[in-house]
Amino acid sequence: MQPLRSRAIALVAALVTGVAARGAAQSSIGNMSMTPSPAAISASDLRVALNTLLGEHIYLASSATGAALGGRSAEFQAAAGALDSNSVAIAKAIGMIYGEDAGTAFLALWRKHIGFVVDYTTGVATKNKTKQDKAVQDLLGYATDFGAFLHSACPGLPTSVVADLVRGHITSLKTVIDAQAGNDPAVYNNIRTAASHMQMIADPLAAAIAKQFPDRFASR
Amino acid sequence: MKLFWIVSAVTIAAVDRPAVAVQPPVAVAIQGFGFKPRLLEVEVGTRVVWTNADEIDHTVTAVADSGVKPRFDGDLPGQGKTFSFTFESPGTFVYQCARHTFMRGEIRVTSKGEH
Repeated sequence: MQPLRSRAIALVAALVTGVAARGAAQSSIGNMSMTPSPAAISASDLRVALNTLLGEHIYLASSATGAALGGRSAEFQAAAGALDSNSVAIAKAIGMIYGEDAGTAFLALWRKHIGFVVDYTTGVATKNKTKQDKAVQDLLGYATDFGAFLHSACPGLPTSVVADLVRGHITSLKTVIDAQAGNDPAVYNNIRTAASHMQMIADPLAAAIAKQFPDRFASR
Repeated sequence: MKLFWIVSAVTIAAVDRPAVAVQPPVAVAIQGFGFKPRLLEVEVGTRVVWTNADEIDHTVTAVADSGVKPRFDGDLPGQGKTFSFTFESPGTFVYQCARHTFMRGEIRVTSKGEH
């Protein structure tokens, strides 16, 4: 069985390129029954792919911040590397839908928020309140940028709505980091909450993309 | 008769006008956090007009060496805002959005007739 990320990417590739990639998608998703057809492919498959990738983002990000706060350098490096691979995978999915330039811009923008999260974590680790506050402000400002980016690609997604959802993501991830720093056992529930919040981004994003490209994504 | 004088006046005005080769302005869109086209080649004297299609602030800022004032630096605070700059000398001008430095563009300005 392929890792979730590979499955999600193969799935998105299939979704975007249609029939040509259908065979690859079938081999990559094992038991999922998909009958080859020249018709558009499923919007729900797109939703699954985006949910997988964005959920993975939380688990890897929290692994990285937990390792960083615990002083486990090698573990942090590994988690950060995997987190960046996840970022690249999400950007590839965006690029496959909206073109290479959009994928490149997305990756730069996405990595930017990870940089701000690193800043916040560093501020927490060093008990530097000024650095923490600056990182939070940067992240909140970033939310609007990200909303504007998605709105530009997909006009069906209002900037302010996406920005609010991203702020929710930032807040839930901040709760995780704070709990990690305080060795609070609630952190595991916090991670679940943060991961499930990503569904609130992935679902409307998938729905809006499917609506934008009805020829590529059948509503089934 | 009146029409004759009008036509004559217009004709004379057109003939008397000095032959200045004015380049038409060239448009660059800022869309999806990118400059489109990213690379543009124009002749000296061309005015380039950037229009922000994104719902966010962008800038068009020439990349300059540290401590040197950028050759051009325009704010486009929101969707529909424009900035223009006329390139009076040949060369390659790299620029970026100062808020989103991953957004980069390039204008190659050639001498007249070289384009």
